[in-house]
Amino acid sequence: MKILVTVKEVAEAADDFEIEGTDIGEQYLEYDLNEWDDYAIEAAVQLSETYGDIEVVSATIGPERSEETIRMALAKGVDRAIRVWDDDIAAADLDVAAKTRLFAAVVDEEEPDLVLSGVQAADDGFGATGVSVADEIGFDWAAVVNHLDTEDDLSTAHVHRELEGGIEELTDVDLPAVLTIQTGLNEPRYASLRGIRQAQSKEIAAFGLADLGLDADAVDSPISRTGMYEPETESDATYFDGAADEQAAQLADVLREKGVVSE
Amino acid sequence: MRVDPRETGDLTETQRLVRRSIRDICDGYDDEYWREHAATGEYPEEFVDELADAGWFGILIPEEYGGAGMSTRETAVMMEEIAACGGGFAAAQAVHGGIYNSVPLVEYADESLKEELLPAVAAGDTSIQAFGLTEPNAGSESTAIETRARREGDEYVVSGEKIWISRVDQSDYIVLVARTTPRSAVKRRTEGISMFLVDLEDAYAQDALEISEIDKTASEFVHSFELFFEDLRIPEEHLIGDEGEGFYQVLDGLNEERLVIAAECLGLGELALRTATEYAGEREVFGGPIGANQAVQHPLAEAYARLLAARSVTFEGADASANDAPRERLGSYANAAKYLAADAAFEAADAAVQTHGGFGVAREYDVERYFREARLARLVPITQELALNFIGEKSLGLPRSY
Ligand SMILES: Cc1cc2nc3c(=O)[nH]c(=O)nc-3n(C[C@H](O)[C@H](O)[C@H](O)COP(=O)(O)OP(=O)(O)OC[C@H]3O[C@@H](n4cnc5c(N)ncnc54)[C@H](O)[C@@H]3O)c2cc1C
Repeated sequence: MKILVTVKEVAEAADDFEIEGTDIGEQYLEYDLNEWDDYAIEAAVQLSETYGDIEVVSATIGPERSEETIRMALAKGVDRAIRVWDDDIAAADLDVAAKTRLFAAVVDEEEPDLVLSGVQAADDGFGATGVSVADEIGFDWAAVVNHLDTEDDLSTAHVHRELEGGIEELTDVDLPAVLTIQTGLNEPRYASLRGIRQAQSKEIAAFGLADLGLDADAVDSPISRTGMYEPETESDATYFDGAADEQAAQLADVLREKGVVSE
Repeated sequence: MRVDPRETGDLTETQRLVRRSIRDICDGYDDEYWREHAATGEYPEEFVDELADAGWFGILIPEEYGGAGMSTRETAVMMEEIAACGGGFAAAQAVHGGIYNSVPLVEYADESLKEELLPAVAAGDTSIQAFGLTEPNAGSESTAIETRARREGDEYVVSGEKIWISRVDQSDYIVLVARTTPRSAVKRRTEGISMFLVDLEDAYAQDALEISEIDKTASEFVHSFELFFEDLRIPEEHLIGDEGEGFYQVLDGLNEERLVIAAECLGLGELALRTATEYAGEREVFGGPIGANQAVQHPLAEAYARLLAARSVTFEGADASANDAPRERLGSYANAAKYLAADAAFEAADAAVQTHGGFGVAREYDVERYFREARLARLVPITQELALNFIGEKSLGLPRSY
């Protein structure tokens, strides 16, 4: 059995940053593993520890810089990794459809039984890639999974899905399937030192469009970014400090002041 | 800080992974955690356990004994990061011994002792956190130690006094250095010294060891002790290496360890500087941020320059050790690094206190704690003077004064 985990290295902007053109200045950006993907990796590694005989492969679309982030996934127990990138991809403004075509080609190549992705990416926050890939490759899917159990023969995943308004849906998904993983599903581990050691000898295969049987059209997008700006803040947030009862008292003062509750 | 000193050098991929993993762990321990532990003097057990569980005490232990088989380069990054993330020099010191005391075992202990202990240390199940060299009459002059180990049958019997021995309360074993031949009976003062592994629980059970904590004013949560040994019986298998060769065994690996100490100092300095820089940007006096005044800005910029310089010597030294540089050259690097890094940390911490004005001495702002730790870093594990003595003699070729 094989599990494919899609992972992304996401950019995080420093507290004060400047916008240059249609992007945040590179010098203000720091890169890290997308938080949601950390939970997806943990879920895959836990399944492989529980059942044995499961290969966990992670796939990312990203430049060479992202190899460090992928190594962290390898250090946490992923068996090997695939990094998709070339000049055409670098020049493109990747939308969900383009990413879907790339990951679908990876799925073709790898033929996994289960695909795990994060619910969304912390930077562009489309929140659509996982489900879109499922649709493209014809797998069953469940989105925003916050609880995961599997049938002993791994034929079916019993999942809880987080819906709006605190409602949960309990549903079964037959494998092969795509699950998009919500934070809080598990407790992602720290990379162990031995894991770091072992990660050094694990493979990160680099694929370009041609290797995946695609051409530059695959990353064409009808969407183009025309501007970037910081929205004006329209209201202020108040932070309360202190013990719970002190915070409660301060909140009560504010509510009274604003006329939400009477004196 | 826009260009963090930690981001300035070129690290290997393994070093970068080490840094990220340590950062992940440290993220769970905020400034308040360290402040509280300093205030109560409580050892940061949760933090240390987390490191132990993830195998970090095995960083220098070879892979065949269950460790990671890494080297000075990675350990320097690990310790710099622990210090810089908020724990300071003290947090690094809380685990330093547990990492370095396995080194003489790896190099010199009998195979059976290695097989018994090293995998357990690497797994975080057993700790060798304490190293006992210093005595009331033997600090900088460590060959002046008087603690005696006499051979009796298949045992050694140890009596004497040690002082300033750290983490004895957090350790299963102590690596003890004692004289097997008195100084008066050896040709060179560096001879006649031996190294032992002492099981602390056994020592207490024999009623042969009493310890007493030293009340001190820096690194509150890493405790140091006076130790009184009286007729402690150690099985001969616990002699580490050769009888009489202990001092040379202590010296071996000292340069590498000293580079890592320098990295711990750097982490502390970086922490102090970051804290001060943030404050200088936020605190408004006379209608503007104090950091706009060059009287405030320049000491911080100077601290930055010094940290950067010390850091490059430290990591160049670590790279040299990875490339098996000759011992004399490593000695130059190690002592220069320790000297520069401790001073850079001190200048940074001093500037951090000054930047904070009166708040500089408020515990809540942490910088006074960094300052006390930076003061300590100029004294231990060797004083600045002794680092310069080494450079004077070995690097410059001037007559020995010590
Ligand atoms: C918090 C703490 C933790 C410690 N932990 C440990 C531990 O775990 N294990 C251990 O074995 N030891 C430990 N030590 C001891 C430490 O290594 C010694 O304190 C240190 O080596 C200095 O020795 P001393 O205190 O006896 O100073 P001394 O040797 O008495 O020196 C006093 C002063 O004279 C100067 N001086 C002496 N000789 C010369 C010379 N020839 N030229 C120039 N200047 C000179 C010194 O630089 C210093 O300024 C610890 C100390 C402290 C404070």
